[in-house]
Amino acid sequence: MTLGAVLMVQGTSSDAGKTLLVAALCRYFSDLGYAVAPFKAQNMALNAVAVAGGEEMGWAQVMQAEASRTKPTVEMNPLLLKPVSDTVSQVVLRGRVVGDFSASEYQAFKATAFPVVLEALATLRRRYDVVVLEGAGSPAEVNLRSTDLVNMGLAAAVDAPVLLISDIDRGGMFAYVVGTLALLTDCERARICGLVVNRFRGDLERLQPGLDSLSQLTGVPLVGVIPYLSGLSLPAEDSLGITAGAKKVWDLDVAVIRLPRIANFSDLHILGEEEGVRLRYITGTRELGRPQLIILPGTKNTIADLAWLKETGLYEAIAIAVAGGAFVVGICGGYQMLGMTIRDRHGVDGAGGVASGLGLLPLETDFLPEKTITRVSGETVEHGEALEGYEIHFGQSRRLGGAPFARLTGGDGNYYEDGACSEDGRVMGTYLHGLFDAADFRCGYLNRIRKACMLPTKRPGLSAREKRESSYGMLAVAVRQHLDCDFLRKLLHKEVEKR
Amino acid sequence: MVAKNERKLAATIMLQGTASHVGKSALVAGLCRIFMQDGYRVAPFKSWNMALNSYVTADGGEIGRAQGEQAEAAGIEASVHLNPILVKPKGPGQAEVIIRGHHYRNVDYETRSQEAYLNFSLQIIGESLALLRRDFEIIVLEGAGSPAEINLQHQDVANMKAASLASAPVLLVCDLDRGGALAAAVGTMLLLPEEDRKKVAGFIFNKFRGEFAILEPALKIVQEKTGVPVLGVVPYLAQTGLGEEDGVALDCSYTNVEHGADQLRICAIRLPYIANFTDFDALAREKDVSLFYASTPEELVGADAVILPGTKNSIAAMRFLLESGLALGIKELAGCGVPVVGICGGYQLLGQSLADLTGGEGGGAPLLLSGLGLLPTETIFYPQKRVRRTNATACLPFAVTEEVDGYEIHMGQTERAFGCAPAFLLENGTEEGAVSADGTVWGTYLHGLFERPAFRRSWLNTLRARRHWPLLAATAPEDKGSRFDLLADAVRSSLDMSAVYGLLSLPGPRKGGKL
Repeated sequence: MTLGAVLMVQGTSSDAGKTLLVAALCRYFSDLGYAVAPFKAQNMALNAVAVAGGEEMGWAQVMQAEASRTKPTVEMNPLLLKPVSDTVSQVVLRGRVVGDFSASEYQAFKATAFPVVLEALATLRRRYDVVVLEGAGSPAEVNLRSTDLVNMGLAAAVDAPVLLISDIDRGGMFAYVVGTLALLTDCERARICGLVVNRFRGDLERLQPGLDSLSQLTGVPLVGVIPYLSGLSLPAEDSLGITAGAKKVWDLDVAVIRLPRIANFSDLHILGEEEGVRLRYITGTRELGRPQLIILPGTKNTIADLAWLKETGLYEAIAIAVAGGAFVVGICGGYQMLGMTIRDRHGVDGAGGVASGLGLLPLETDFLPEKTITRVSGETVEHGEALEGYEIHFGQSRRLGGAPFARLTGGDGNYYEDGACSEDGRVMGTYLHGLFDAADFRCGYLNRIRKACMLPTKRPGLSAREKRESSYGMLAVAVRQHLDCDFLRKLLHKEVEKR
Repeated sequence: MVAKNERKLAATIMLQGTASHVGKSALVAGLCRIFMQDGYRVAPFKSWNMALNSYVTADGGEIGRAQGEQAEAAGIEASVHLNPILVKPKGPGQAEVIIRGHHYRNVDYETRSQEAYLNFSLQIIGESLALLRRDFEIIVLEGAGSPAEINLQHQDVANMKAASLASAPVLLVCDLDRGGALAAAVGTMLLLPEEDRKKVAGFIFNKFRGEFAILEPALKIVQEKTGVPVLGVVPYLAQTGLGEEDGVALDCSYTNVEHGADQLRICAIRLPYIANFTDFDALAREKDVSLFYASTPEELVGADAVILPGTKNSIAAMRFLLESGLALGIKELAGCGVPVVGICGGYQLLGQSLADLTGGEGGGAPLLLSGLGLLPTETIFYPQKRVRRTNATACLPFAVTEEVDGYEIHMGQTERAFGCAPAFLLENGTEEGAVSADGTVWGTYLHGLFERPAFRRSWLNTLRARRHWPLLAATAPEDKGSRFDLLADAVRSSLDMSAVYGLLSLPGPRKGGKL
């Protein structure tokens, strides 16, 4: 059985544009008729997504899988690091939690993880014609080389040709490229078969002499210069990229509580994109204002973040806002917080203990050592709107009254009731991540808020999926316009035949 | 022959970066402060600067904002020699060149790369540098961008050529926060010609956060590969509080602003070629102000006040206002009584018309353009530029007799219609600016007018009054000195200062200086 071809993208610095280039290449090769999959050995991010098998993986690879027109599977991102504190991360291997590791503990663990990473990639190569690999950070962090499994260490193990991408917008691009090559070993350097210059604005003619001498100097051919792209509708991978702004006409003001250990907030990106909605992330009572909707997102540590809510005064402020007519949605950890009590008898959620919640929903939560990770679908109880998404949580919540939010079917085929709604419907909580992805529910819910606030209702617009689809199209066009496509094809054709 | 009584020339040291925004300007300010604390007469120097935020010197010259602030850190009066060449972009490939504080001419990219122009630039730089080296004991030079842009190296007068003229050892600043810093350090060294490489005497790794033990082996490798020592690892200094130099920083700091419920929303229009936007830093530092930038009419929603800032190209800015729909949006807001303020270029835009009789402003044919029509004023552009620092007394209805300090940098002349009141009375007795009949719309050429707490608060209180919020008292003037001292402390504790003094061939702190 032949293995799929591999091609890797590495960057000369963080934020050089690797993730988008991989998505663009995935869509481009998919357009050519190949079965394509993305792959990143290790991701450090809090935006995890549960996939069909019930495992969690990084958001970026889910997005890239969508660009590849394939279903995301955990093999595409076998290692996931979720920062718990500044020095400790929860390590997730093939979608399953291994434990909390310090930086040095993790370095030691990598030796154990590497075979698993390689097996995951081999699985993908058996299923797909082309696998596009993404590196992390810079491959020239020579102090980390000995344990590398995400950049050159991986490229060597699977003999992948590497495209190096460099961001020219901040200056010093030539030095970053030359220096990266200089710090690599001869074998590593030989893997780099092309350079992509990213985020160029200006006159290409003036840049050309510099690019020519760079190619001469390094012997690495230029594959293309990608201009500064704007207008893409894809959420950022990690918390650094949180964007929410006042950049549009809005009638609904949505305040998301920016919990210190906020997790899986890429759910909410889509709400901010909705016409008429202003989405803001807030950290204190001062910024709360008078939003019509408050969202308590997921968190890595419910009890600690609940204590933070109390410290900041948001605990009272949210209750006051609800009394004043605001709507509240709690998702996952935020849902747990809306209840009466949260008990962590086994120290699953941190140090353990019991905490009293906001008391806005008749609900009790117990933390149990087993983690629920499942893809689910179903409908809302009251309005029958279709829902689809995933659950990732440790706690189990018990409703003591009121109505459930949704009727869902999990990955195991079991049918159950999820979430809770207050009697007047203004407070609602659920374990379902991605609930706003469903256009019917999203528009229906926002319009219910509008009605309650005596605002005119709006007709549904493009769904998030449709918007992302057009972004993938734009990326593929950028590849065709600005990269040497013959070169890309040759790079693959050495090994690949269309199936 | 050296005359016996000739004073010793100042010692020199230069900071260059491996990319833009690696933190050179703040480090230069920090070093200037350290040398001042140590008892030396020190001056900052940037031979060539491309920026749209200017600082006006006491004698009416225009230099880069950062050099003005670095001079304050050094405890000296800024002079035009600190930044002898200032380039202000004003159109695709077009820029205004300011030589020693004064308008020289507009040049295009072709001219800038000609040899005659380069020689001329180097002569200017050399002369200013020589003057400074006579008057001071230490000069801290700052480069621009990266010295290793191989497509531009031959015409780069900001980095290695300036280092040569000053015989300055170079410290290369690398940005750890962005990743790939090791590669940037090694790559920059590789791309420098032999004679320039020799000038690099050390690396400074800036914006560090993390575990030093993990970084340390990497520093050793860089040292081995390049033969250049690492003279310091400077931690990430979240807020140096120094004014930003260009629009890149603006993109980072004022987009996606979250407004507090008890904050005034002040909207500055993001004009093309926006200039001197440091004017608003003082406003943004007020706790009850949330400053944000708008480039579409939708973003104006909910603004308590609109400010039209300065621009390097008023004609392009007016066209932008019309095309984007902002012109209509701003007029609608003004119609509802929302205060609108124009500063410099923004003041010109508020008037009835803008006339460019010689084609100098728009970079083309003569033309006449309608303004926003919110003030009964007319502006005519002349090739002569006015650059001066001045005190002024406000005659605005909300701040009568309030004093402000300001500076003017502009090419146009603006005339008020009969009956329209001025906004300020300058120290030389001339009337300046204009205010609408109801007092809500006003404009002025004075930059920096919001620096004085009393005037700033008077205006903010008019906005608070519109919201029926209680009025606030003016805050105390800001103590820049202590901010510079904090910066100096941070830099001093992370740099090998004895090595730095070694490079300067100076013995170290003077008696009576700090440490």
